[in-house]
Amino acid sequence: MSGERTPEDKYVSAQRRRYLYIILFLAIAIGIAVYSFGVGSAVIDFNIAIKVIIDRLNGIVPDRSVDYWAWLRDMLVIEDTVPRALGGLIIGAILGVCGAVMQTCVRNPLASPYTTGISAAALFGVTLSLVLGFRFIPIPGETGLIMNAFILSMFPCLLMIMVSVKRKTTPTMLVLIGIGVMYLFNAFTMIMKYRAEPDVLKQIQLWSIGSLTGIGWSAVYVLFATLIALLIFMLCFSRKMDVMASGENQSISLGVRPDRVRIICMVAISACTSVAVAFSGAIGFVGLIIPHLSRLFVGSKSKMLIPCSAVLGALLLIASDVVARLLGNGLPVGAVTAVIGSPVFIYFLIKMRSNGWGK
Amino acid sequence: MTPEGLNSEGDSIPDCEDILVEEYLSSARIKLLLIALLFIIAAIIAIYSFTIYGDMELSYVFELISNHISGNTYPEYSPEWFDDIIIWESALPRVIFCIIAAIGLAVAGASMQTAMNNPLADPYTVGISSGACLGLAVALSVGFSVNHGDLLGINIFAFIFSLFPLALILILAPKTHSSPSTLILAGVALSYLFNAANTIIMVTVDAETLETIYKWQVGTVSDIRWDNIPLTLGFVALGSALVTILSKKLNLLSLGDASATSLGVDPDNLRMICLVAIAFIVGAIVGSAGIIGFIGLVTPHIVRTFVGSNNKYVIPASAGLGIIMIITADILCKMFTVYDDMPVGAMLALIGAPIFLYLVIRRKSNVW
Repeated sequence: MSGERTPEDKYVSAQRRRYLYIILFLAIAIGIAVYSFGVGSAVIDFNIAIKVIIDRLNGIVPDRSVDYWAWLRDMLVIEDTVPRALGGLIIGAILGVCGAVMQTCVRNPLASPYTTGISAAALFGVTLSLVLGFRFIPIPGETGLIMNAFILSMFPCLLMIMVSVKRKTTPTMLVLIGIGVMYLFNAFTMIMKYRAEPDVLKQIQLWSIGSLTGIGWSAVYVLFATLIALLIFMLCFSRKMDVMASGENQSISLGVRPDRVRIICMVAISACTSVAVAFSGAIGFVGLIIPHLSRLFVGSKSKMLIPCSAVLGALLLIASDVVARLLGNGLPVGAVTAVIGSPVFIYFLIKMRSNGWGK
Repeated sequence: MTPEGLNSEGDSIPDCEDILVEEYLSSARIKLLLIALLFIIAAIIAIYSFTIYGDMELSYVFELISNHISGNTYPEYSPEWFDDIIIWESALPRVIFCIIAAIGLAVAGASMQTAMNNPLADPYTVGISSGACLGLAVALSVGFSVNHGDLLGINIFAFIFSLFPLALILILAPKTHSSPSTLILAGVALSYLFNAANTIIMVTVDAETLETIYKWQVGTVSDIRWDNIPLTLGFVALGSALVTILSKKLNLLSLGDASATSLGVDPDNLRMICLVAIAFIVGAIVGSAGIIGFIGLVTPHIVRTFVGSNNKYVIPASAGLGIIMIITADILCKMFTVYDDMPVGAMLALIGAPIFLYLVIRRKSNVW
């Protein structure tokens, strides 16, 4: 019976395959990110971009007064394409993880990081600033706009905490509160839009689709710190989350208070999503579909699902950004994620004949 | 939508306990009274709304309508002639459409939530709205449409497009593991795909077309004419009747697929029939008025806090409350704006969302 594999062997090989999937996706994501350095600008192709980066790593910084073109190329690569690619990777990862955690928390395949109304609130913040010129923190330019989006997007979070202090919350209730908040802020936004100038309208629309333009190094630092904190936090909580997902009664009898874990996780991911949304706008699809796709590859266990959602999210967003830039025309990345992601998702849904939810 | 929720509403009558039967009947009576009350309020608001749309006395409105029906005409360009046009050509179709749309959306929403066993589901979950939107965007930007490209042609074109996502799902479903969550996921993926195509079109069109598409995405009833009524009325009446007949079986679906099967219902078939009925109801409404949100998603939830989760009561009560909400919102739109160009969807969410939040947070027991 030497050919028979024991269940233990099967588990180990399945686990190894899951790690391989994650590493493979990570490699592809990084490959596309490197490729993206040379995309989208007429004066820079891939070789020049790599040369500029190698020069920088060797400490060679071109002087503007000596060689203007070298300086310009350096500026474009170092200040625009590199932070944009890094930002895309990180935002995709954040949205993927937050989506996976949100779906586990509320036990609903329709949930996304925006289920609690974060994107609607952030959009209202942006609209306030663009239409009325109102800013919570009076800084001109992009920073004020980002702060507006961030501050308002914390509102759903606060509401959830307030409700959970007063009452015992259920997943459905949290989801319904999210729907209410979303509609409320969307209504405010619509009423402001209704009196807005056409070009402001276009700006708001672009923001609501989401794009990666204008992400600089300061944004990358903030986003990176957020991602690391999120990953560490969620991996520490992954065991408790799995217990919580097994059902209210089971998790109480196993010594985990489901409502408490749920609220802590949701507040944490809401804060991280707020950061991502504030910098990039409400990029949809990634947070909703990536966790499902990850479930098809690595199953529903949070310890594998969270890293896999992170790398797949990064992969989808950076690939979409490359496609958007290749197509040109200022196409926002949020419009492309679905074009690439939907067929892939439907293909795997059919091919695997399961939805990874075990029902 | 748990089994406990159904039992606590007394859906299954205990065989020998007279007191429980009595209690059930009296609670059923109260619920029926509540539904009747909702419809009476809806009728009063609908009648009152004429005075707002036409900005005239109620008795004068009745006089105009009865004169029109009895065939009396006014001299051309007299004040009465203009008032008659306002009431007969604009206000009346608008109110009638609001009633039809509210009934259709509320019924579709309530049954979709039950069929999918998901409180986040709404009439647009399987992608109907995104298909319709793409239809409109194609019709407006390419200029390709049916019926010589007039307004009705565009409406019908959008209606036809709205059925595409469901058709795709019907083709895909047998190839997958067809559970509610797979259907939802396929629907969501398809609607994102259609939306993306729509967004790509929207990036290329000029500001004026963009505004039309945008207004339509929020949902507006200010352009409704008599042309729109027959198509919408037909599909909504047929679809709603079908769903109402199936409401008892739908209740069984919320117990879970295994229990439903053992009680003699084929869950997959029932779900598909419901989806098709919902698609025709919602497609007909969306084709004419755009994506009116909120009603389909939230009205059933509000109603459940009062009448429990038995679809026998939820479906009619949602329809009644839906009518009240949409007409109130439309009246407010008309009152607060000069040119009557605020989309009713925005006003609906503005007045409905706080009420909804209050109910969800305050409510002691959980009906879902």
